[in-house]
Amino acid sequence: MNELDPALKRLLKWARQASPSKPEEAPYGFSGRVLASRRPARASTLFQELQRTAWGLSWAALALIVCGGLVLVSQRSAPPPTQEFSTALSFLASNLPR
Amino acid sequence: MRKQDQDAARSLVEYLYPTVIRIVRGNLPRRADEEDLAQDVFAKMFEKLDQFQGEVPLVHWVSRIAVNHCLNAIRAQKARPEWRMADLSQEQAAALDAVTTAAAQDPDPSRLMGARELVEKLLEALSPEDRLLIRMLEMDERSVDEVRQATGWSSTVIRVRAFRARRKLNKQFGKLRKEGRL
Repeated sequence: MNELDPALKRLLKWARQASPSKPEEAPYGFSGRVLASRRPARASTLFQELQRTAWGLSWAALALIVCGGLVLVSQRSAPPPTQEFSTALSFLASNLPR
Repeated sequence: MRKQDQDAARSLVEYLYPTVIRIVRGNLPRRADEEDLAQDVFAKMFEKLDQFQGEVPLVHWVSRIAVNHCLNAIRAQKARPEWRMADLSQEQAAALDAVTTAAAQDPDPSRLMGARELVEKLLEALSPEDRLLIRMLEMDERSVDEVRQATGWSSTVIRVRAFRARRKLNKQFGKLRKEGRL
């Protein structure tokens, strides 16, 4: 491994010696603050859940509208129903007694 | 049941706090509050707790969250100042002067503080990952394996990164020394 400059090594050693010995135990109330900060996160999760549901419903509604529109268009473009009965009408006209 | 859950979470925070605060203190962005950052780390830990598979010890898993969170916070600062001799305080310049003269073996406390501040300045010129490695390997005197456990990086990545980080640090220190001699 690449070695550090001896003077730099000495500098790092001095820096280590000067490291402040701060307490490593959680300060009073710290865990309480952490737990309190979890609550809004939960609320936002619920909000996100609602938002997701709303989006799902919106997409479902949109899909229904599109399907309905397609059905309407297909019905309008279909030939008029009278043509379907023309054979039957002509049969009846020729066979019914006058 | 709800009460027990709260108590368990509180105990978990208190048990993991020393590990988290050591990482946060070593990788604190400028003008950031160590307690705020530690709180963010714990919030993230609780958020991801259901993803913990138990493949690595919980302490290592939390260390990795803390390391990544701190690195992201440092990255967000973007600016990586390159300090020049003129930017150093009197104590820092004195520490630089003392450290380069082999005679100064037992420095006084003011020199030690100057040395610490100078190291902080030198580290600020490195990338967040390089800074983290130098701190863990050179300042905290942790082994490659310990760094691997805390960061999740492979031993090869650590060695390669450490090689480059040391080279950069040497270069940065060399520049300051050269300016100091002028």
